[in-house]
Amino acid sequence: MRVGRIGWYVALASAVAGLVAMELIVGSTRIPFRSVLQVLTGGASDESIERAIVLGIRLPQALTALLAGAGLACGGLLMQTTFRNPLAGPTIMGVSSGASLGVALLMLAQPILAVMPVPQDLGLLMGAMVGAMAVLFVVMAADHRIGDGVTLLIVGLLVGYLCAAVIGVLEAMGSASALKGFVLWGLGSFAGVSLERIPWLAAPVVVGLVMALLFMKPLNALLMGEDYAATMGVHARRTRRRLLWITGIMAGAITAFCGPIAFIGMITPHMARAAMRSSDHAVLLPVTMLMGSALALGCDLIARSAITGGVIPLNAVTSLLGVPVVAWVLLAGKRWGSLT
Amino acid sequence: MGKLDMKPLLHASGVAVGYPGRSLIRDASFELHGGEMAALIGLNGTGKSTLLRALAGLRAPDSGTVEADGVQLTQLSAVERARTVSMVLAGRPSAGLMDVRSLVGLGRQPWTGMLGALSDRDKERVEVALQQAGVEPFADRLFGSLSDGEAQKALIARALAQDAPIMLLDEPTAHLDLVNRISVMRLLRDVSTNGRKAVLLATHDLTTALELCDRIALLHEGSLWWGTPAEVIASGLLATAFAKDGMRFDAASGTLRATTEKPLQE
Repeated sequence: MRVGRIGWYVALASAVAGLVAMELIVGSTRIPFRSVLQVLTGGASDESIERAIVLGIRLPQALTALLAGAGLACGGLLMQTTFRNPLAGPTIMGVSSGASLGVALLMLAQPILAVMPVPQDLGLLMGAMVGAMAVLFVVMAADHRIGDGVTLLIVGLLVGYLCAAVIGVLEAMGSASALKGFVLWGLGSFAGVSLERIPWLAAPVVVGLVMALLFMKPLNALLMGEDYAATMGVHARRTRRRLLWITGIMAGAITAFCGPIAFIGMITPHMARAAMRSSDHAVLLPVTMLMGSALALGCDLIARSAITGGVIPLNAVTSLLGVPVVAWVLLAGKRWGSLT
Repeated sequence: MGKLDMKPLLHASGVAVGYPGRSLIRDASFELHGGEMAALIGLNGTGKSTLLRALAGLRAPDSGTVEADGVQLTQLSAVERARTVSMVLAGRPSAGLMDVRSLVGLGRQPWTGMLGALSDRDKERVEVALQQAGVEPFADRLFGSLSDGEAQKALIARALAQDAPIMLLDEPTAHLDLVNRISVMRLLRDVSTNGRKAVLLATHDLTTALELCDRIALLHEGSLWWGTPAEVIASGLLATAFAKDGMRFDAASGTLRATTEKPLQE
């Protein structure tokens, strides 16, 4: 059993490394692996095209996919365990909708973005984070008053619908050019983050991932439900709030930089459980993170591959992959429902 | 009844529980000692589960105090409480893809470090709990694949692994056939007598409770009556509490019987 698990870790880590390498090699301009290595080890000249492509475009894109995939997948696992709902994901609490609303306010109401004393991408990041945090505060306030996990889930969904409605109004009132920019952002992409901005994405995601690992013990207790967890010494409500914060911060940052990315958060934990045949978070958390990274990298490669002409939006690829998995989860019914 | 420990492990004093606009229990007072097993009985809706949740610290009583092992429950941290009181809740929880050994291992959570890794001593306690509850033969099977009787024993094993001196159980024999009901009750009797634990279980299985328990806590019309099985039968309270159309309590056999007669109202 243990060898099997280690085998999975090694295979997944290798897959992630391989996919990162492919991200650096594959593209409209094919760069040999040796040249990529030269660029990464500082062997290439500053003016070389390879260096400009690898460091300016492909490396940041690969790192963004790596981080976003791990963060979204991890957030999905946290939400599925917290709410004991196999279809929960980081978007379920309205966090992504809140981030989208923050971005919509900035992109569709141009004067706000124009007067902000920061670069545009950081302005959007701040807008998305403020939107995500605002939704989290609303959900937390509801949690403080309601306390019931299922009702809280519904509150999150309602807040998401409310955000979508406001975004709809903003879209109707926005200019054509602003609307185009917002729609493109909404299609999702790992390509919009420069190497200099990677730390802005990496910091909240890495902190979130580490925090999630530190919560593996109460997460395992929560598998039996909040009441059982409480009888085993877990402060269930406080733990739920902290897990929501962790997920919200990761999802908010990822949405800000990449747009709302569909399905990775929801489907990856199911794939991890199916592979490991376990609900133990000590096993699932690292596997889910690695699988999330691999999935994001794979989807990104498909989206920008020559086969698809490089014009298919990332969310179309994640949805084409995600819908069958969700259908599988629903059709398998009880068996998969019991996995959370 | 075996020899009882002098100091009560669970002491409820003037405990009242209910919901907004609805009082269930007005004044429950009792002491439960190590080595004692008590059954909490009463009709549906009399507050058995609500009282157990208050005794486990899952909810605060509306008034009154609960002392566990000499300390007020409200003064204990969540972990200290879990080290003092273990509980098997009503119904069968979903536990995901967890085998029985892992599920029983969760019982060690109050004793493990931040990441929940089991030490050698924890693993030893888990094995003892598995054996004690008789679930060792299927320890490697998924919890979800067990029969109801096996699952109930696995949940009791998890509570045993928690090593708490007080064990509360909410209808541990519900949905079980006669063989499994007796088997679970005998297990709890053994846990209480040989493990020196204070065991309090809510049950509708009146006959087995009267036969195997040291104390009966009868909930009726908001009051808790506490006594030995013989005392509670002699008091006539059982006949009153369970006097419903088509049913009467037969004191001679200690069982409820269906009847076409009208109940005797005292």
